[in-house]
Amino acid sequence: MDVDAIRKDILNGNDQFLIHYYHESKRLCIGYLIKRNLCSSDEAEDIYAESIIILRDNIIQSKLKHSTNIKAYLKGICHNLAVNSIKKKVKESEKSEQVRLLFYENNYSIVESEELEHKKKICQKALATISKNCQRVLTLFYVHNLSMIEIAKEMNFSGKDVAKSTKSRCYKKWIEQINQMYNLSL
Amino acid sequence: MSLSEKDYNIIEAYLDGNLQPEQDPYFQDRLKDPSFRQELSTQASIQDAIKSNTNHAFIQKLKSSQPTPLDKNNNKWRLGILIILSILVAAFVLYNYGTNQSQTDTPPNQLAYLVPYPPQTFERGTDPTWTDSLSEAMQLYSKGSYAEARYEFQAKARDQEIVKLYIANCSIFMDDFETAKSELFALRASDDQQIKQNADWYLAMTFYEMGQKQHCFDILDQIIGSSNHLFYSKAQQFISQKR
Repeated sequence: MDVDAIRKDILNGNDQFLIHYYHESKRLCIGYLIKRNLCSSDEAEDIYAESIIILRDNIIQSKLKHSTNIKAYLKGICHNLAVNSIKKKVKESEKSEQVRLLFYENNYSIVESEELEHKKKICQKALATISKNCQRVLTLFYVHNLSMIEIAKEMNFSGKDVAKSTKSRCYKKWIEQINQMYNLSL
Repeated sequence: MSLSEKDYNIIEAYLDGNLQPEQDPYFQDRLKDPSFRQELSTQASIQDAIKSNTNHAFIQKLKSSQPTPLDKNNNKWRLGILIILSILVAAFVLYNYGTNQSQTDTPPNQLAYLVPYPPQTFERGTDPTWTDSLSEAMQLYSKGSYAEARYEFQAKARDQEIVKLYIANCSIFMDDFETAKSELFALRASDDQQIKQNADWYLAMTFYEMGQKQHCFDILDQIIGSSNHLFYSKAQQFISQKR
């Protein structure tokens, strides 16, 4: 298994490998979760889908070895997800939780507004309006959690400083687009 | 209070985990401003949202996808492996066929240990010291035409020790053990260690073929008494299996 080639494919938007294993290992993993009474059958479906995302992230972050047995690997992830489902939910809203904790520790009121919910909904659309290059940099950073060095390598930038300034510029454009779209919708 | 460029930079740095110690007092101060807190909270949620939205879209894509074989490259690999395996199987079959053929070509009374001199097939008939007059004999010898080769050897260079070794070999493979024995006896007195040691071995084999096993093992015992003998290992193997 050429993990580097698979990683490259995934980063270029080719999910064939993941789709293949999604179907190939589905029965094994879901059957395992239900048989072991680790969760209900509905939850098993979600946990299994989540395990594919973790597989994807681990491939992208070069955590997967060439010799890894994918089916066994997915089964292991499913097991861990079922056992640690609470941790998983916290991880999904990592940044929000961090800010929430910061406000709580400093006795500031928690911000819950319609504006925030609305902006969350339009952030994907706003991302689609900026350049492809920017979309890719922001996806690599915010979705795939790649470091600036890795982004520089993926994007053929001369170094991490270029990656950092590009990401920052793109991020500002994105936020600007979100705000513009939000104001237009009022 | 509206937010400045510096505020946006600080928010971005904080959420990326890159807030520098010298920026911290400013950040703590700005937290007092509700609009700063709202922006911070919004951006944090947006960053989480982009990840969960992307993952959600990916899960939908997975769920609505159809099972597919792996990519073309993988199929190419499989095809490549299949071709390599086929070649290996074919080579194995051909090799076995060739081995069986050569085994059936060899007279049944001859041992696997007894291969014509020199043991390396590619060296047979390629001795650089040969004169042109012997090339025909060597070609015949290389082809396994021992009777004709011996005739040529005897006619052309009867006195050379190496030629005598070839004549002895021709005789062995013609089942003319008496001739082989007399030639090899003489060669065991050679000053040339290579000739002498080859004569030791082939004489031992000749005795074995003649059914004179005791003479054979006497010579082999002499061979294994000298660890630097050319046939030391072969003699040991032969004794362990045949004695």
